[in-house]
Amino acid sequence: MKNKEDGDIIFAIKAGGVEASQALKKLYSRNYPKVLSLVVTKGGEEMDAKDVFQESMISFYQMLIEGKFRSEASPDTLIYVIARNFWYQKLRNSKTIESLGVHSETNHIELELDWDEISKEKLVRNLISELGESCQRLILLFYFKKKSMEHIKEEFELGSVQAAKNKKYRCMQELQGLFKKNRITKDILS
Amino acid sequence: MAMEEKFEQIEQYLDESMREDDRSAFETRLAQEVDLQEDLEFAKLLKKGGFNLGLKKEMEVFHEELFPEKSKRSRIHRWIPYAAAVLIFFSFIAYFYQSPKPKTENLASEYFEPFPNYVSMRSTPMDDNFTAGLKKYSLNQYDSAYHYLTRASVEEKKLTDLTFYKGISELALKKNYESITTFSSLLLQKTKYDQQVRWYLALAYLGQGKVDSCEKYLQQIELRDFNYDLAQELKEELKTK
Repeated sequence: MKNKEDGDIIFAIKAGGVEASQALKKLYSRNYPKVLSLVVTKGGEEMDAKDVFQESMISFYQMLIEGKFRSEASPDTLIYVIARNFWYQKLRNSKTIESLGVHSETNHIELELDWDEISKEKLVRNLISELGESCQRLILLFYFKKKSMEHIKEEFELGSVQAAKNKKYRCMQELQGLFKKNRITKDILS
Repeated sequence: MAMEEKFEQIEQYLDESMREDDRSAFETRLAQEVDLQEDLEFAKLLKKGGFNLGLKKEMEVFHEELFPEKSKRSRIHRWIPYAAAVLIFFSFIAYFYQSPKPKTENLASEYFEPFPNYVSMRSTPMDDNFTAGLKKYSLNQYDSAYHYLTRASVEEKKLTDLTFYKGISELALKKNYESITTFSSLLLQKTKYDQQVRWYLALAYLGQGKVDSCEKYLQQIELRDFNYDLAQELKEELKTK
């Protein structure tokens, strides 16, 4: 059940900036131990728990920003349910779910995750990490920190905003090439 | 239409910053052109993926601050009995064959004094990580200072003041390895903090027990410059231990 503190956290996350960061950190602090316990008791290790938890926090954040967050559920409950879904999906993919005796558990929150969308987004994220340092930095500045092209021009010491746009476009082209190549490989293998 | 112009249009469409008639024309093209649909899909993924990558990096910082030793501990605990046996064996050897070493970590802490913050705060919005970091630094809250200054350094790599105070926050938190990396990068740049950096580098190496490296940087602190007297005092103390 949601309480006033939950309401404040949701408000802070939607507001963005330092308040959003503090609110996310609070959620991280109180929810990671529960997910750690879930994963470790269901055949996983601490590294798995960290990865699953961080992915579930990202999904939670996206749901909140896209207005898909059900207002009657508490953030903690939703994060836990998302994490459980992620972990069970991972177990299904590695085909160990039967040997662990994990059965579908009913819960009071219905959750449908678009696994295709999640996997494509994660692929793009991984591919960004394979770009050169300057492209990664530019992408983070533009899409995460939401800095203007004017700021990016200063940051990279470029002569003009157009030069900054050109640099961004080259990074996008390189990334799109990697994405298409990965998607083709995946289609061939599947 | 040039590719760059096309992507610019796609981003305007996603940001809902297109004029009404432009949006209608764009949607008509979208319904007919498969390439444009694919480019739009990619642009959406990039927008989400780029943001989420930043979010993931932020959460890595949270994890390190909130649960710093656990991941190492859970792997280490299985080796405790073996490590204990090895430790006891080498303790006997050390007792009989080695003279006591100076407690360099304690010495580094004794000589550590954070450099005062002389940087004027920016009058910028609340989400400026650099300003938030300096405020926490001034309150001796080095854990929070380190958190904000680390995030700021992703955005503003070239700021000398930012790097300098981040290095001191790391040293205050006894993150000696990180502070050595931070200060070493400043030394390469020849900044206004040249002497101060040498002093703090000396302390960071001392914190790691690397007395030779500590002494090397203490030697480089010039007469009548920052902490020259303290550097001489520390050099003497290291000789007598």
